[in-house]
Amino acid sequence: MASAARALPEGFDPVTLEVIRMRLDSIVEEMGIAMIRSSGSPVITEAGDFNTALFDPTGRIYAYSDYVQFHIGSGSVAVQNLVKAIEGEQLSPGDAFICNDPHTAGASHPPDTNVISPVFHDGELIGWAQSQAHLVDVGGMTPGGFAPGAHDCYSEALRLPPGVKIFERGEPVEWVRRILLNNVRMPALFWNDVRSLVASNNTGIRRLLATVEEFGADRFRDYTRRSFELAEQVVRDRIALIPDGTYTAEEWTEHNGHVDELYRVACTMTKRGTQVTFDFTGSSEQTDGFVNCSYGALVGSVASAVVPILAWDVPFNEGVMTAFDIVAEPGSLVNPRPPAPISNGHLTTGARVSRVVTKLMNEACRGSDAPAVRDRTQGSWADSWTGGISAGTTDGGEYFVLFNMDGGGTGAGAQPEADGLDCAGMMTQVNNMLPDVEMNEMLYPVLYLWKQLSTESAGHGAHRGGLGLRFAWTLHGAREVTQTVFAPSAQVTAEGFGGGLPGGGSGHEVWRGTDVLDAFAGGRVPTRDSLGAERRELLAVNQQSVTVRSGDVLVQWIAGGGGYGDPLLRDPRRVADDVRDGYVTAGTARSAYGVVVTDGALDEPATERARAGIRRERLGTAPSLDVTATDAGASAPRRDADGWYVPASGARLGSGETWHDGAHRTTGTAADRLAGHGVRVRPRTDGRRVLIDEFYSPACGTLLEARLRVSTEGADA
Amino acid sequence: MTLHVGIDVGGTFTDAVAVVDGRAVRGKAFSTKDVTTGILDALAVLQERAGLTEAGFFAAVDRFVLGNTIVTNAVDEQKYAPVGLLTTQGFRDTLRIARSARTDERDPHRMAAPPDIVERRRIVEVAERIDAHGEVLVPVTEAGIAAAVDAALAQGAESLAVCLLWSFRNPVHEKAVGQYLDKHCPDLPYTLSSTLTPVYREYERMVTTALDAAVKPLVASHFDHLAQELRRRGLRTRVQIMQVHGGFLSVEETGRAPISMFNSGPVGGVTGARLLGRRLGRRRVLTADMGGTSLDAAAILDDEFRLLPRAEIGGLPTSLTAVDIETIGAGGGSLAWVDGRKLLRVGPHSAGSAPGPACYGKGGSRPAVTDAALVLGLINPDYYLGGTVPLHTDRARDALRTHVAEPLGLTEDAAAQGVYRLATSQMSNALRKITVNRGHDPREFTLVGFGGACGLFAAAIAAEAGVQEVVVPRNAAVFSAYGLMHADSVFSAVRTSPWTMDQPAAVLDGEFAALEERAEAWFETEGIEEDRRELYREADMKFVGQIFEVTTRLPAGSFGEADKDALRERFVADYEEEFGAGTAWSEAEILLVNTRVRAVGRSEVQTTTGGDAAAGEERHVPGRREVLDPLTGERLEVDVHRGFGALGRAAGPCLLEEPDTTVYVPGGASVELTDGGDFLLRLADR
Repeated sequence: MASAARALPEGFDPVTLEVIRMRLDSIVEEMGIAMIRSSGSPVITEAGDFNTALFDPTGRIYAYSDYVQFHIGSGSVAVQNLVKAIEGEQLSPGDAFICNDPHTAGASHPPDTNVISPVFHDGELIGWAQSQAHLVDVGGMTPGGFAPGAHDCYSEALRLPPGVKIFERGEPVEWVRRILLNNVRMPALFWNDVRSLVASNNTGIRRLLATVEEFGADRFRDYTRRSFELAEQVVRDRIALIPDGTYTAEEWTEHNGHVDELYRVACTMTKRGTQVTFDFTGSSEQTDGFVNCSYGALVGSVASAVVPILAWDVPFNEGVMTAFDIVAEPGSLVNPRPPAPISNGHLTTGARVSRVVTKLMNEACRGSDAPAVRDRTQGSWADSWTGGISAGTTDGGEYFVLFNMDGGGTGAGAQPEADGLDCAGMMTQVNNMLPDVEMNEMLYPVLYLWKQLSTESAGHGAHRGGLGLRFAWTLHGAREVTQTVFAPSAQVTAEGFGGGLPGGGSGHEVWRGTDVLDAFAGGRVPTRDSLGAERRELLAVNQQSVTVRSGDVLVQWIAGGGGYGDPLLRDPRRVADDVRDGYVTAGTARSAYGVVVTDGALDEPATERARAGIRRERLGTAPSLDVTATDAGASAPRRDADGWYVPASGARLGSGETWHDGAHRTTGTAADRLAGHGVRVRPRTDGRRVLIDEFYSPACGTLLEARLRVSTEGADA
Repeated sequence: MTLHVGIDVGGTFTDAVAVVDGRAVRGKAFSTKDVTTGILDALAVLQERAGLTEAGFFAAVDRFVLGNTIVTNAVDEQKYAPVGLLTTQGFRDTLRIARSARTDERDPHRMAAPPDIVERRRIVEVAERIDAHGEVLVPVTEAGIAAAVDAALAQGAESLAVCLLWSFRNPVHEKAVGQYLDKHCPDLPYTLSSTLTPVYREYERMVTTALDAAVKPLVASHFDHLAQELRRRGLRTRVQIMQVHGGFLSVEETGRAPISMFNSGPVGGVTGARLLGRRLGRRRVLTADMGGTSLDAAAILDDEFRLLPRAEIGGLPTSLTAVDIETIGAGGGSLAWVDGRKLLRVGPHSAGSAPGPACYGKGGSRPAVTDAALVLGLINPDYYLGGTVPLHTDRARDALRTHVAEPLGLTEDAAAQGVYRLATSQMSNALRKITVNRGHDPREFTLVGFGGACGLFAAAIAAEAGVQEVVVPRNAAVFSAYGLMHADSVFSAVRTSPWTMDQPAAVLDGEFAALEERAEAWFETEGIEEDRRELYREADMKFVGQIFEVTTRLPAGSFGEADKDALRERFVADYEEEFGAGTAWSEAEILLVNTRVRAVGRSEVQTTTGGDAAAGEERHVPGRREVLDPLTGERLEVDVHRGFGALGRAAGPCLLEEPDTTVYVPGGASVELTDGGDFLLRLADR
């Protein structure tokens, strides 16, 4: 067949190609296992915040493990910049280089420490083994490496550029080790994790060499090159199914650690033939707070979003990313220069990059004639890794840093055929894991009062966004801790798709002077409703140096994903199940879904009346067309030869450039409007406001789109 | 007369093996929904082949070991009893949060939470709290227990799981619930996490406890039925049930913790391979159990298989310790397909037993691994499973042509060869993972390949993994049942009891002694004689700051101050064996987390032959057949031997066709009969 002939030229055996590919994937997986098993850091073992990969000599990815996907970008930039930095230097087997500087070595943020080892075969460099993990502390002004208070990158951490040799011919370089350990708060843990990274690389090197021996160096090179080309081809074939055009979207990074400002992440996506360009020109300039996103994290954040959309089933290698160009102006929020602080850029601005790419792909894919591509639309993921880092001394006199991995309990976006996954983690967090309560309580002096799904987090829709987590702890075995918190998506939350509503945001409070100890003494376990406090102190979106004392309770809640499709299209029986299961309250079922549940049972006639009532309310008049289709995508406008229409009812929306002109629009304040549906979004009190524009079909009252918009300074619409 | 019986109830077949005065007979029957009928059918075959009457057969059975898939199937099909769950106030969502259900799946369309074991309306919070030190912060009250139990029962719970925070450290609250239930709901089955699995991490503990309670009523009804039928036929000995940790327990003990018999069939194969290795004098053995949908592989070092803590059940992590079996989705029924890159892939989707591979002619149209083996000429279509299942070569060819050859622009032969190679490559990756990656040299291992189809692939898998010696047991198709019969009885008791080297040795010794007391009591209940008793002390240890433990065995007898150094050295050696030389955190403190005592009642079963017939009774029938060698792509005419026992030795390429299994011996390899009647292949050095 023609396509087969195009894919594989003469002399290539497709089976051998796949055998080598599977072998490389199994090697990076085993590197990951070696890392997990030998590591002491909960960040690695519990949250899987690491990556392992093999690169060719020029820094192209042979294979990449199924853990955090950011590092597709940061790992690549690290290897490529290392190759440049050490050009002409003598290398030996057993050498290993360490780096963590986002500005010069591609890292997502300073704690993400990379160890890169050359791989030699018969004296020739044939590739690099790379392992990267989030280490618990890398020095700098704040324990744990996130520094909301930093004004420049010099105060954030010890900065290791490309080319720092940490192992030479298998032995630690002692003087480098001494410098490193003198600059971090927990030197033993730090060095043990470095050893884990080296052990992971050693595993990779051993198995890669065995593979090259088995197939021969030349064949290995030819087949891996061919593997790049094949992966690239699949992605390009899919891109070809997306209509050519230019699409624009924006997202907002919130609060730079000093001021509660909103920073624009703008992107223009141009699709021509089989090439896509993401141009971030128009994004805010870099700022003096920790939300600047390194170039490595930018590339990784784009990959985190596009890989599951267009290459969900393609074994990952460099070829998957070849069809995407990325443009970012130096000195901007998404490609900053020193001295910009950068210690949370990946979780804030980087996560917004993933979200803006999701929105652009939604717009591009919805216009495709191919159902397989059209089905890649989705509600936005919350992508709001919510930070809680506590540092202090236990009653036993031991210094500790709790880097709470519960922060990964953020909801996924709703999908065309299913609700979003609860506590899924960020898009980038493949294999995300949250800690057990017993794990955190065993290792740190904290006692949890609750840890549950947050019913105020999910975006409503025909398919619901995934729920986030909410939890609270009090100190138990320590007098006080210094607390750092950050809530990447609190005010401008994850949008839904095709009439799905936005999800709720993240946040945190310290409940001061609670009656938790009295409750215990009185034989009661305090709950969210019953815990008394002198006052509930709402913390800033990003804040450091918060003192939490014995008797206080730290309460955090995490954002949920955006919905998919008009909530009125959700099967009423599923809504009734949700009420019974506690996913939504009876009140929200009524207000958001028009579903009436009485004593746990669905009231069908009342539901029908309620839904009709909501449609009338939306338009201010009775609809003229009935809704007949009920699949989740039926509220997303589509185009045929005569123009735009609503699949749910067949209502027409004109034949303009965009269907929005033919829709009935209402605008409100996002926090108020969503609060009416039981969804918690932090209101903005100063400066720019966050608005929600809702677009309805004038004929049938179907919600076609609910879009968040940030107003110009202080204005209302 | 001595008579031992081993039975392996699988998804499709129930396999039975009996050893009558040292001689093995075997039988096979279709598995049935009620389990018992399939077992009785297989026993009827044994009885007939042993030449005994029903009454004579059952009365003579000394030992009866059963491996079964009741629990495995219940979990796979989520056929749970309506189970209720009591949890600590504030933590009702633990199962739903599932410690984030995100896996390595990259397609958001396929990301889904694990299916509910317990419906949320039956999860009830109890007002109580114990802290990490085991100290009671809020005591549980009888009124609180009553309210929670009532709430669960009102929602229809027919079985209860109880999993409270820190109950492994201090079980007092769970025990109070247990006492309440014994008093007020004497017929309600329940499981306490602190009894079933007193180890830390509440998510795994809760999953394990909930699963156990969810299958308890089902298992009880199956076992009652089975015990009744067996007794009615005159069985006098007790029924022993294989466990996931590699030994068996009495049916009564199993009923108390049925989840522990999850996946016990494959364990039978591992114990069988260990015995085979012992008999052949091989210290390092790899097992490859190739079924319809998967390959199970395990390593046996110095007569011991590895136990793995935190074993997975149906994709859920549990706190059980299980025989470390690496399972990959590549078996005879694994489907071949062409992916978006226009490349061939095999598995993980499988044709299962219905419709099965295309060549079964039962409606399957997509090509499976078995279809490829048939097209290559490795399988005789008229002699599959001894001729009991006729195969359709034309349908296998059609399937391969339509779904592989044409889309890839290959010939049918090349397509079949490709499927074979990819399947063997995946299987050999699994073997590499448990050898090379753990620092073992595959050349030192003997591969024992079993399961009906493994003989066709074993040599190729071994060659690619670097293993040079392969044994295919003559009873390959019922090998797990055979292994079950020879398994040891094993009891294991574990407790999380942190201890560091600066604490007195006597504290640790006391922990072990308490566990040993329970083990001794178990020896007595099970009636295991003194000379078959073995006790092992094990400790899960780590360097302070690490999350995961490595298991180290302690010397037998009491532990004193003078033994501390030896314990440290032993742990460091075990650790470096796992992660490589120089990886130990030499300057870090060592923390002992769990103490465990394993009590073993050694098996006393002896068999002299592995097969039905002694070698002398066999007649060698030679034949010739054209095959396409999947390793070289050459078309060859090869010898086909039936009754190989009478020949005893041959050089490859050739095929051995036995009623239970077919073995492909590639060119350059040789095959000979072992003393036990099994087939030993030696591969050329690469």
